[in-house]
Amino acid sequence: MGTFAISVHRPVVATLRHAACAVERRPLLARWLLAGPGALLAAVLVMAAMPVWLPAGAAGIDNIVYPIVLAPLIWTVVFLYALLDASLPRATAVVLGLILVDAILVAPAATGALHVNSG
Amino acid sequence: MIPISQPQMKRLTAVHGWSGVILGLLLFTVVITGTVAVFGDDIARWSTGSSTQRGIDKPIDGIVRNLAERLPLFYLDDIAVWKTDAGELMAFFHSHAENPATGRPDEYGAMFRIDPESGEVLDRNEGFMWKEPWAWDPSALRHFLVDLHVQLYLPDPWGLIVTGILGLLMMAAAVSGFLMHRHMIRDLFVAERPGARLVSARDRHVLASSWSLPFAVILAFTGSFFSFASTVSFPIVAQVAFGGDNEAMARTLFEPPVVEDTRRVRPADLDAIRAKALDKVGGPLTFISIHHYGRADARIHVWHSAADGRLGFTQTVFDGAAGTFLEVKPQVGNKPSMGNTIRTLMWPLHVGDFAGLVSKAVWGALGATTCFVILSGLRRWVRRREEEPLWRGFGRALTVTALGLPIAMLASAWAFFLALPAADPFFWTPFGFVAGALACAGLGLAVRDDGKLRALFWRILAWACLLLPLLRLAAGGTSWAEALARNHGEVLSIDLLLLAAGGLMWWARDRRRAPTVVPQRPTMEPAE
Repeated sequence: MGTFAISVHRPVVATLRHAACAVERRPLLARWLLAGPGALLAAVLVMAAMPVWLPAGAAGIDNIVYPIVLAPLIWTVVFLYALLDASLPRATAVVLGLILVDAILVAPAATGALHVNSG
Repeated sequence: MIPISQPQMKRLTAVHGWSGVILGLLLFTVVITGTVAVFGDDIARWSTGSSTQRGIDKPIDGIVRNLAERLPLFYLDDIAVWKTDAGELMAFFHSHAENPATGRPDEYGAMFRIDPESGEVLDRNEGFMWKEPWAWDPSALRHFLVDLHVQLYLPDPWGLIVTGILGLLMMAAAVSGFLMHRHMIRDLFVAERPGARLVSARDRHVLASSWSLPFAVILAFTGSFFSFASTVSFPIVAQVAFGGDNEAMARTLFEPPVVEDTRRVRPADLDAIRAKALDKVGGPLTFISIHHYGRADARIHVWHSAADGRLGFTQTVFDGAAGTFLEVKPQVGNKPSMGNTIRTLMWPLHVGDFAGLVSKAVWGALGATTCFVILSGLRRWVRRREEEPLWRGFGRALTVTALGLPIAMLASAWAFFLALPAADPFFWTPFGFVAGALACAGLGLAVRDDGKLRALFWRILAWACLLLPLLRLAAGGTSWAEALARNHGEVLSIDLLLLAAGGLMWWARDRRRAPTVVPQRPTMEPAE
């Protein structure tokens, strides 16, 4: 088991190091992609995923009102984070992580497989 | 203020500067038209010559009942009743049908313009009437100026998306500017260094932006919300939360649940309901919406505008058959909630109408300050690069936009009044704007000297303001004597403001002559 874990762990770490080096080799392009389309996609997915995990509140609507109202603020926060984080690999990991996690949350609901609110 | 490393400061400066350069002139357009739109209702009353408040304060039950009796049941699905800025009562009896022009459901019905005193029907029109502003908006000028602000007069939904993006840009610029401040408190009291140097321009920009920073963030945030809510955010959230059923989401947010009962009954007395609504919440009542008029499951929604300590709109709901009070309904949802509280704050924070003229004046002043922040920032950018022809050209575009846009807006007002007697003001008002904008662009190309161009623009602005009240009177507008007699405050006050502004601009025209920009050639060094 320990050997198996090591055999999986080493290639994963190597891949991550390789990806971090790739990002650091092109810092300007990476920053543009992160703060531009990356931040936009992350913000849209964060907003889209909020109905899935936010509590509906007393009136049963907070989970759909908050993402609509807060959408501009969500983008601003993600954009500024992508712009300012001194570590590009870390910023890339955070933005990509946001995209991945929220896409996973959104996928079943967006395809109609999961009804979050009933009409 | 906030510790920022040098690389971070470089990135912030780049974002702050370049976002301003690329979209700053468009953002200026949105902000200056927004500053004017704060006074949209006042402009509407001035342009129609009436200062009637829009509260529904006369009996309407008999009027609505008489009209309803003559209409097919299809039209009684929904009835909207309100009063225009010209003091006329409007009633729109409608249901939903697919609009062939858009392929989407829309409100189709009969719209009546009514004399509120006599109940006489002044005009009747039928169709998808919300798409025909000439039938229900007495002021083409206000309609155009507000539309220019909301969606840059571009087609739906692209105009809203563009203004939403500009709102995000303003957020980014405001927050990056805040982070770039090393001494925020000191910058609130920075005195402009003398000598018209580049640092003096920086001082002015920093001072104005420091004081207007919270306002800029609030306006950018609320503005982006309004632009993106219906075009982007609502459909995305509806897809996730309701499987794409936009109507189901709209019902959840806006309609209280009602058990269907299609039996025909005598409708409740609307005037009794008005009195109860005033008693419950207070006035003014600006909009009444009746669902399923004449049915046992009818509901009447009464909208109260901000007043008496209420920040935003309040909605009271009544049983449309029995006339009994049911609830004070939140704007969204059917129970009070934090989501509703936040949503309710967005409108008054954006338009500044929560405390009447006082709050509108503050919002207008801050809007003008934000215009100065945008222009001073762009001007500073150009001055740092004035040796390069590209940026000198951009500086010329900046002058033409900064002074030409107000001229174009005044030109739209001129076109409105010229068209009022005998032509369609809804066509000629935007035409006037375009003509004014093109004329200013033409002058920008024709007049080579920056100082002369500015002086010319100031003269045109001055005369356009000074003569506009006279044009309004010549087009059959309310005279000052009549305005005083009938207490039409907006007519008098806006005329006087225009005269004062025109006089001030005339006085200031030669004092604002900019130094002529002469590109500096590098000094030739003696050959070694």
